Amino acid sequence: MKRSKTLADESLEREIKAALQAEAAAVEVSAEAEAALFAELAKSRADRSWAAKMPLSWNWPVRRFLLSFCLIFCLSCAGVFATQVGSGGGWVSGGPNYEVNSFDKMPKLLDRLSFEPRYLQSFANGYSFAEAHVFGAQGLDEQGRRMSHVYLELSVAYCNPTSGENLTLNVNNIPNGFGGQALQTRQVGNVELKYEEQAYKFVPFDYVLTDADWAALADGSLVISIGTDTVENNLLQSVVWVQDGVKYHMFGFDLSLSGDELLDMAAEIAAIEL
Amino acid sequence: MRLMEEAKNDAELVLLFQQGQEWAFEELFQRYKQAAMRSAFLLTGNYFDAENVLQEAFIKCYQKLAGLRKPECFKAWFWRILTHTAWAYCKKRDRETPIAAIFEEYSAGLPNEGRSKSALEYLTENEEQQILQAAIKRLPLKQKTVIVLYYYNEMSVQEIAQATGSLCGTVKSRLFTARRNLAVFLQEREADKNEKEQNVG
Repeated sequence: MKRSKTLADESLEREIKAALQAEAAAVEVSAEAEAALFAELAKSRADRSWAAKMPLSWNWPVRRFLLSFCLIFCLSCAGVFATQVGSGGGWVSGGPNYEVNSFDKMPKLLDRLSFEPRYLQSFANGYSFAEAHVFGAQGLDEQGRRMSHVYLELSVAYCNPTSGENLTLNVNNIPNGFGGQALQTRQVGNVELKYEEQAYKFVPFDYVLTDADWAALADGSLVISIGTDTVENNLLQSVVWVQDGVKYHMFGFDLSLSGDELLDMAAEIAAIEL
Repeated sequence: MRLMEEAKNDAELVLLFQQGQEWAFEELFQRYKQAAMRSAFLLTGNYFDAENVLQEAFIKCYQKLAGLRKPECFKAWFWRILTHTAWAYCKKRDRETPIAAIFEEYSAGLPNEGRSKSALEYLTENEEQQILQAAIKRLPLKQKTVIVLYYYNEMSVQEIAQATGSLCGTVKSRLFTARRNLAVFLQEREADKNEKEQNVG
């Protein structure tokens, strides 16, 4: 066949198409490449769950709200970061986010909940109401897909006017695992209050986990949470309990309060008659 | 459930993903992965580079999809990401392939299945087609891109314009120039071949 005959435009176009098809015909996406891509996407998803929702300069209330969210779902397990990267399951915030900064407006928030929470305006030791949120949370299945049901959770922030320390009470009816190893317990009627401690490391978005981090994550002695400007090591102190099918988690970081004092505060809430 | 997912168009899948349905992205990946991989291969000329471009493009797509304002434009938007990723990759690689190495690279660049044939076997099997493939590889990157998108992906001039971020006139111009360059290249090859045949004769 003479090449000159095939140089007519129509023929050339047919040949170009055939040549490209022939060249690419054997090319397939390998299983390894596909697996590597989805591993990268899982990492990206873990980042996206947090980073995409945060403004570049987020103030402390927003930060506390996000950290509270992280804690309530990750108490006693490997933490949001590790959960997302490891198993693909976990929880992400989503849906509504309502906020009040006056105790008088609390009924407006409570109308949105499907459960009745116990809470106080102030504690005997001086901690008093600062603000409250109701926000949504969705579970992730093993493939990292959001489950359809959005649970609403109440988060009430308390502040000690003298020391300036903050403490948060989260209340929800989410059907997830709850509570870790109790260091102290106290009985209030038929409710058992559990005091727990957990080491937390807050890290920037671009933080690279060290071998020690991975080891600590694996044995459950550390929870890593993404979202601070610098690396911060904190001790989380919590009291958790379940009362009338509703879960309570009262907590704060690096508090000057002892376990007994936190249990006293929790007992004040648990003693409320609805 | 699976049938329902497959019945959805791209725009519906984008909307579902934006509402938090992660499976919708996987569905989009399954729809586009083959064409994307093969196009990346044609643009980069190398299987392993193509895999890198594919991965980078889909990660960008995943990270930015939530912000896509016009879900109905997903196809053009995705091809734009892929094209620009491939361009950036090729630019970074900055590898000008001498014509003598084209056939070696052709053999080395194919996946395992393709590598079972030698470059010589390819040449003797379909010489005409091999020559044309080599000529396409020699085209400047932007000309090669319009050739791949137009003839392999069967995209319209307007779609290519959207995917490459060019004007329709620019796409037409590149297509025209690429076709002319291919024709010239093939004519030269044919002339060389005839000359050699006459010398042997």
